[in-house]
Amino acid sequence: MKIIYKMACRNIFRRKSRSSLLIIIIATGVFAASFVVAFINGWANSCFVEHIDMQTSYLQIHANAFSDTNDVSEFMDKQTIKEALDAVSEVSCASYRLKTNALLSTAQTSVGLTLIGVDRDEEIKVSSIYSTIDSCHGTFFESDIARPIVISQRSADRLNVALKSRIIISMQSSSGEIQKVQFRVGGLFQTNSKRFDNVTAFVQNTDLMPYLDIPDGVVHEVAVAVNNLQECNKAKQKLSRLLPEHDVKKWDEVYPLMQLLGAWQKIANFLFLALFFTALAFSIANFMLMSVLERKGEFSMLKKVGMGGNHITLMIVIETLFVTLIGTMIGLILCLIVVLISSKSGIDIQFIFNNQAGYGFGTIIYPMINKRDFVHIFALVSIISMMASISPVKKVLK
Amino acid sequence: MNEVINNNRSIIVRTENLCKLFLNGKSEIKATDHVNLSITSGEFTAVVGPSGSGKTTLLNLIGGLATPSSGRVFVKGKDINQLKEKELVKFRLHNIGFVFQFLNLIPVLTVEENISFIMELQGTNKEQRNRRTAELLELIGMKDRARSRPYALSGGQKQRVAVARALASKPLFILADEPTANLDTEAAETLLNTMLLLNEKEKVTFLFSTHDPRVMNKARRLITLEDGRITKDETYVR
Repeated sequence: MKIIYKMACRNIFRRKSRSSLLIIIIATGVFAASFVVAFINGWANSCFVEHIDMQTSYLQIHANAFSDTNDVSEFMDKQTIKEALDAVSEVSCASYRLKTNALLSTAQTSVGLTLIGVDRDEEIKVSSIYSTIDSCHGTFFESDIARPIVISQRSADRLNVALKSRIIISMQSSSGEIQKVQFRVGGLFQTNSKRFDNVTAFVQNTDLMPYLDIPDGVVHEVAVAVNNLQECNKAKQKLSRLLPEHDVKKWDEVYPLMQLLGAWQKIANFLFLALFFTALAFSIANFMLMSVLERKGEFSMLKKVGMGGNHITLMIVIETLFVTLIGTMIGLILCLIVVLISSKSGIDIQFIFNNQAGYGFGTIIYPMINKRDFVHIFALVSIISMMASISPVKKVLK
Repeated sequence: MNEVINNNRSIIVRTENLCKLFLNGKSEIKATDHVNLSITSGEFTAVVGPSGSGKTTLLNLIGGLATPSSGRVFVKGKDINQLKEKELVKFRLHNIGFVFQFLNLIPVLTVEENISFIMELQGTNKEQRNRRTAELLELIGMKDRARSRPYALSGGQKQRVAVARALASKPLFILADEPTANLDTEAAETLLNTMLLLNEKEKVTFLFSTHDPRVMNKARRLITLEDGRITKDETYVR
């Protein structure tokens, strides 16, 4: 019914100041809500990226039993894994690691942690740990120190050691013998995760292998990088097929808290938007109510001349929907502009955390919003504008 | 079935003991009191009487805009009070044209859109709508104001557009409640002449309420109401 659409659209611009005010309110609300969503997305993404980049990489491969026990005798054949990885196009690079539980001791104290043996050239392709070591805190296995160990700044504080300090590492070989080896601190890293920093230290594969009593050409863990996050599932499926005797895990399976974080992010976004837009619906309903009440006489005439209740309902719903969608479009465009700007410069939230990082994400958040969020916002706005038109429609049809 | 009174004219509206009571505190006011009347096709009838005599109530009852306290209204032989709300709206849309004292036109639509509005609600196709709208604009002499919005029209012009809109869908009859009440002499004269022209040319039945002597002088039948009762029903040849 073209005339109904025409009347509804023209009615919006009948009271320009009131319609403009309503559009501004909706645009501001939508902008605020969508920017908060973009901020939460950016924050969650920062957690995920930090986690993948510093801790887990995209995929990890272990021997089935190693995942449960961390037993150094549960190793994998490096060549077998390498062949499988070469056959998967989504895989970009990998780091082959040795891994064992160890006790780091100094004259004053000792701490237990996981010791990871890496090949520097492989490791820097899958992990950015090396980038967190600034020049005055050593290097990631680039110095000429004999048997270097890279520990976190936090562990160094606990052990009361500095660069080049000696540390005794106690670990168990695959035959069950306790080995004690002296390492020197070659670098101090610091990520945004206290948990990771407290339990992780790196040594070179070649320095660790002789003390684990394991054969040549074996590894405990393979950290795999894929071309992009979207290809993670596909790569995992392919690798699981190629390596049925091995445990292939995605980054969020290695650390399930990330799955929880992902789910929480989606629920929080939805709940926030739903609550926010419900509140907005009351404003819209109020404006629309005023708008129809001042046209009471006109609606009465329309009903008298034969305009049915369904046509009147349709007209009010279109009016509400149209004004809401205009406001929503403006709000989303504003949000898009601000997100585009802030996604490049970032928003520094360090002041909130009292200048102490360590919660597992960077203190500079890069807001991001995607098509799915836009669809959600549009769907929610459409629903709330329908809800907001119920009361005015009822008033007119009474 | 239409009730035929002679070969040329049929009864299109008939009321039977039509009563409408309003409560004023504890007392009852009879707006119409056992009104019996018939309107045949092609009539140009005025319901006259002093203020409060029940003219508007009678027109509202005939148009299905109000429900009688007792009695019945037959339009084209159909008891309209037996119709459900939705059916009544549809019945009005297809059978009755309305002209009100004021607030006649839809402010956001142009003159031609206002005229074709009812036809669009009825589902008439665009070609027919445009043809009929052009015809009526010609008849009311407002072809040059087709694209104007109601705010740009004088009171008389608005009423002429309202008559054209009421007529657009070729209803059985048109109910006009004090159509000249807010018009100056010249505008009232023009409106009445337009209505008479339509009555003659298109054989449109008009039933209108008025207490304007100019209108009474043009009407071919005068029904006089006093305290809700018909006191006179006279036919004139003009």
